Amino acid sequence: MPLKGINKSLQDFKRHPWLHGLSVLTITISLTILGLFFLSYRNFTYWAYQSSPKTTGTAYLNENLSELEVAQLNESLRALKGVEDTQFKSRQTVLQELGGAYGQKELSGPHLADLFQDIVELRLQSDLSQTELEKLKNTITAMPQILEVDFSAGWFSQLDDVRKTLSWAGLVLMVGLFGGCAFLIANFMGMRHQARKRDLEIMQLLGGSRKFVLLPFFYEALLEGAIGAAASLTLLLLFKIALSETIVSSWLQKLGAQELLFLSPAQIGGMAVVGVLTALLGTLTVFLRFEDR
Amino acid sequence: MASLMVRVSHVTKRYSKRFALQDVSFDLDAGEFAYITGVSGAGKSTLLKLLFAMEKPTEGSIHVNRNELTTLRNSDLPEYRQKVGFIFQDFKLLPDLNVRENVSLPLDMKGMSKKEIQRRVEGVLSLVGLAGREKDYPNHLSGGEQQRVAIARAVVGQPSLLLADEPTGNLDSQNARDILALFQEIASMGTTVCLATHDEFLMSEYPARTIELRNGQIESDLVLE
Repeated sequence: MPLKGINKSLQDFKRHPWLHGLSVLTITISLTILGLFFLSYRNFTYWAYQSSPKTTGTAYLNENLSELEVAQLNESLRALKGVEDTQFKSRQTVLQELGGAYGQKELSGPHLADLFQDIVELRLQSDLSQTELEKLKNTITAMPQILEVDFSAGWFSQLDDVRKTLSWAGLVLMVGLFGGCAFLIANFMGMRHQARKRDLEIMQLLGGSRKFVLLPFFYEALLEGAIGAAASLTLLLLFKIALSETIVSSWLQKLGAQELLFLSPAQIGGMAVVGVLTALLGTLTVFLRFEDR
Repeated sequence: MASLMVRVSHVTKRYSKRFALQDVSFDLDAGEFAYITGVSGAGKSTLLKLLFAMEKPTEGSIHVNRNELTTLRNSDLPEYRQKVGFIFQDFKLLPDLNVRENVSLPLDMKGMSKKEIQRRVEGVLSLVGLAGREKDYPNHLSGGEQQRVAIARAVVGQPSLLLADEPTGNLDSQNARDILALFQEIASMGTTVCLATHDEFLMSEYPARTIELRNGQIESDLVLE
């Protein structure tokens, strides 16, 4: 039965190419806008993690710790859950690194060394939650050798905030496009219903049941949604390929990203579902207009 | 004794204050051929519409093959109409479907197999003299041929009752005679045929029971012996 129904719907595509074409075009445009958003969102998070893959931290040490105490501290820190590696840096090393950053061998000046402390750089596991990070920070701060601890977790927390905002924006965009697109399709469906009103009445007079008369509209919506989604995904893929060749080779690699990602399978599935559901929502108008005669 | 197919009992149909039919009663047996005649506006088409459940009577009752039409629900209409054939004055063919598709539509609605549909459609098209025209579209057919397609579509489901509204109104005399002969053949196969017409010449050439309406009432009901 579905194959027969789809076959009949395809025949109607030939009879009313413009009306079907407009519906497909509406779905394609809407899904492409949504897809562009998905594409940007996915690559944004990908680039963000690529450019700062690990959470790091800096523990500022108290004055006058012996080598033994530093070694013990390193051991203790490495034993903590969530800490991957540690590296001790004396204030001289810090000054040297800073000097290197400013193009000098070593920064020098009266009492300059007093401004810095010996530090231990910490490399943390990247999958730690905000609560775990907070707990770890408190544990390290409570150690007697430690003056202060600073994590780069703030950066991740900001990233999470941006991701959450983008997720909400995506949802709003999806709902908006879904509603707008369904409204347009409902009108195209309505036009098609009007164009076929006489045919539908004849079918009813010949004994066509509600299901027999309306099912073709359902299949047409399925086809329009599927074609619209396929067209949109093709456009996005072409867009991604074109963009990869220009952007990735130039400034994208500077961010540490090797490639431009396409949509994830879940996003592709989501777009197909949105396309079909939008078209089906559009058919509601025909179902609501139908009267038993 | 033939079984009862149609019972129209004290039927009145009123459109606001105008009476289209007034206290009309008659019976039709299975396999009976009957003309409903009268001048324009006498109520012929209204009577056929009531028999096809396109409208409901204001008063009275109509039974067709044990179906009480006045109490028929909208959801039961498709099943009822699949058992009754109706030939419309304007044919009501679907222009986007070819002859075969138009004729097979009632069988499609019943969910018949493709093979059975093909067998029946071929049979009925040869009955109406349109064998070999299966792929033609209605706008490529003459009025008489379109009429035959409409007849083929009405009888392909082997209805127990066949209703025809002025089926010869658009035809030349030869085509009209051919089609009336066809109706009589269909009736001889056991289908009750009820034909609305005001063509007295044809009625005299193919005599049958004649129910004459005037101003919505039965003026005469002549049954052939």
